[in-house]
Amino acid sequence: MNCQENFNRLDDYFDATLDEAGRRAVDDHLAACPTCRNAFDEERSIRAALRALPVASPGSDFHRRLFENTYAHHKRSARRRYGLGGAIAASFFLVLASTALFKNTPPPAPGDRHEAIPGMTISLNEVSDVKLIFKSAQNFDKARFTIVLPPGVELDGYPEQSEISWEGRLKKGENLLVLPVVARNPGVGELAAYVVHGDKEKSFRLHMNVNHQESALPSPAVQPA
Amino acid sequence: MAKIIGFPDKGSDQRGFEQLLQPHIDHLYRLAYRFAGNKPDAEDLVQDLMIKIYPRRKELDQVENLRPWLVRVMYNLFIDGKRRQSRSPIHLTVDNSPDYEGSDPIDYLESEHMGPEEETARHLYNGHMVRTFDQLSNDHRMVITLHDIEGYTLEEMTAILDCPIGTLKSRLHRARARFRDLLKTSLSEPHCD
Repeated sequence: MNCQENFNRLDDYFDATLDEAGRRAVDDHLAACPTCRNAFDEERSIRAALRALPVASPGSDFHRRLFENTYAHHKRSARRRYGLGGAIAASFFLVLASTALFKNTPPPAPGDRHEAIPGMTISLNEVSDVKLIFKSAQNFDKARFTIVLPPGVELDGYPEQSEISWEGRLKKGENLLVLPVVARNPGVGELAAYVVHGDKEKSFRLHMNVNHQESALPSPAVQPA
Repeated sequence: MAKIIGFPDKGSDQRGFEQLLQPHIDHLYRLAYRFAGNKPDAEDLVQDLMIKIYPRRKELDQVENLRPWLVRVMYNLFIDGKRRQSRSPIHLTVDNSPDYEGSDPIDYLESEHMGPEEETARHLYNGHMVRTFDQLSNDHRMVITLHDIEGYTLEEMTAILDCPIGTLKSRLHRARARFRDLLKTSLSEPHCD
């Protein structure tokens, strides 16, 4: 093996990807050639110096700040999505209402479709906003709201919760509810929203199609060999 | 004020997230520092990573080998950030001198018996190493960081960088050659701190 061939093999030698015979050939050449031995020693010292390159320590409480900032960021995002800067409770409290509320109409039975159900398509593992607009002819001080999510879909920040209920007040006029939803599995289903006051109920259904398109994050299934 | 009922406890959710991520943060920060070259950008990069993956925290415990996956996401964020910067008319210049702030200088001494002259020579040599390393392209810095500094195998790097092993090997080879050339140039030139 000449010097150039030896030099070409040094990377593989350091990476331990040479077979036994190749490794022995490099060792033999280095033992016999002072020039290549010097080049080898220099390469080794460069790699050692690279590993010793300094890394400045992060600021104090870095770990704690990381998590606190992360939660604060997502809390702010959720508030923006719900349309208010206050508590989530307050956001629901202000935006829900319905016009045709409380007409003594029973909730539609599954498969009973008197009118076309609106629909939307969302991507897998991507937060999408579902916007529900209700109009109400009057204020209501107390109502119960229920959101039923289709299988494989959840409200962002509330994992494994397929049904969410809460009580709130409705105001007269047009109101908006924005639900940040995340689909965990592809498929189709229906999101249902119910508003109940006493023995009266108004329902709203939305057809949801979850396509297979992934968000920007690599799939957890992609693993190093 | 209206009261929300039926919502799950978010505290346990956050605790699970922290337990899963805590063991990797120091490693991620060190890598981020190698990528970015300075402390504020390194901290921001790890922060961006946390914000990015938090909405998908439920999936994290399904990841068989979490660390390379996290490195891959962070690498993508770093590259995306670099692309955005390159399109921006505003450019930020950072001081490329070694950043010892917040660190104990003794960590950088290789031998406790090193004399003042050797110590000075080592410090100067480290300065050349840092400057040379910062002159590398992102691609070259990335492969040297992952493989030669942090010890990732080429197989692991194929998943992190989404690149065939043959391409990585030749990129690594070129990166080392480039580093040697730049270091030689740096050592031959006088430098004033």
